[in-house]
Amino acid sequence: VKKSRILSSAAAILLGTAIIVIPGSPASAAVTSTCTLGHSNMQNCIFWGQAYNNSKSGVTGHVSNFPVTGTTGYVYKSAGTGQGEYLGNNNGSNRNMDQHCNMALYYDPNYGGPSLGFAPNPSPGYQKAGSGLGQLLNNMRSQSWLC
Amino acid sequence: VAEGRHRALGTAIAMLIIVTSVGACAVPPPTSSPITPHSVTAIPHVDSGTGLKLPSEAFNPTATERNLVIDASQKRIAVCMSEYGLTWKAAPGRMPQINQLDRLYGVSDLDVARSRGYHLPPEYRVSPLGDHRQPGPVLDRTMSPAELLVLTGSPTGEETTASPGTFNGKQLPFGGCGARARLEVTGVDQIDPTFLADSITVKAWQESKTHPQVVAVIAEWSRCMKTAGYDFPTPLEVESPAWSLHGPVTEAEIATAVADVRCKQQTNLIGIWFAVESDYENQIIPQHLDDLQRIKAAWTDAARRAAQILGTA
Repeated sequence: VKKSRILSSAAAILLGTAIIVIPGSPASAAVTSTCTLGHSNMQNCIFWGQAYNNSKSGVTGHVSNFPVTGTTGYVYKSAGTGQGEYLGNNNGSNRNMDQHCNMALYYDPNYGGPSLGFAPNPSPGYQKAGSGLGQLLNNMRSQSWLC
Repeated sequence: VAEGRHRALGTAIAMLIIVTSVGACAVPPPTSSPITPHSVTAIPHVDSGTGLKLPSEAFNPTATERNLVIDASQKRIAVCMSEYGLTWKAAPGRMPQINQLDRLYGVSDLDVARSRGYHLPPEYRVSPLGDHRQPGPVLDRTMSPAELLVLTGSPTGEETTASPGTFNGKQLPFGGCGARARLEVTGVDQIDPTFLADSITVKAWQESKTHPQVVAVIAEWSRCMKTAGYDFPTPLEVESPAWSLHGPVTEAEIATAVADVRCKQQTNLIGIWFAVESDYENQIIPQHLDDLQRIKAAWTDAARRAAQILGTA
């Protein structure tokens, strides 16, 4: 069940742009409409759907807060159901696109609350979908990397 | 010879899938497990979350097991890719043994607060641009369509139910070399597709937030913080325009984090919350014990198989 289906008007304006650099974040933090396998690219592919489907965004780097209100670039970018919606607390499935780094997702902002670890792609545990995310399904507020 | 070996392997894998898959269970999932909010009396007094382990963590694979499985699967991917004339740059498994308690109630250690504020400590957060075991990895290396096809079974890297077809005249495994390697090492595509132990952790943590003792200690912590000059409703909602986790650690952030941990110590927030959460987990775990033990055993078996693949058994 989606907890957040609010289309951010600011996000809607940004939809035409393929790569969005998040203001106030490190230069490496970006949201793209595509997901790319890479070596140390630190990219989390976030899908709106619970079977690695529907709209998606590739989010690179550490993110201390996926907002759930206000204006943000952290929204679904690619065409499909969910496009334009917030990524925060709205993740149907997640795939670690990095072949080297481990990814962790957190229930709360600032890397707080319970976390889930993801192995490098495509090692066992590199992706989780739907109920596989446990209660981090639609409850993701921050992400970190260990390389 | 190679084909025969693969057929035999396929049979072995099929058997392993039967043996190690958790499959559907009759008991309800942890998300709907009934919990009774007991009044908890056995409460440890702790100044830090460091070293505390929740009961559910005993059923998760260790970092050593995870890294063995990753290393073995990387080795098998390289072998598989080479069969198609492609190379694979294996990355060593470096899954950390992260203590859930370290951040479960926000920043929970005074030394971390003094040095890092609310930023993650270095063992959690190592940038590929620095502090690498082997510096200089290729950043944002884009794989060629051929590499993607052989690795994933799809020229775009997206999962597909379609047959991957052939490459260089040779049939590709379903899901590509990545899936084949996972099967070879763990026996299944995912040992625990429902992430049962993690689900129990989150369920108990989520429910514990409304337990009367936890609600009371959070309110006490908030009052303590107010006395120190900070206004936050809970330790998990600590944000301020005075500092940013996207930037460097600042004095203002450190001062807040230190006050945060000192108030946790003063109120014994970590001890109380941990005791309540442990009690909840101990109510849920018996309902799923068979599955949890089977999953744990599957990880142990996978690690043993991985060590054999790596030649370290």
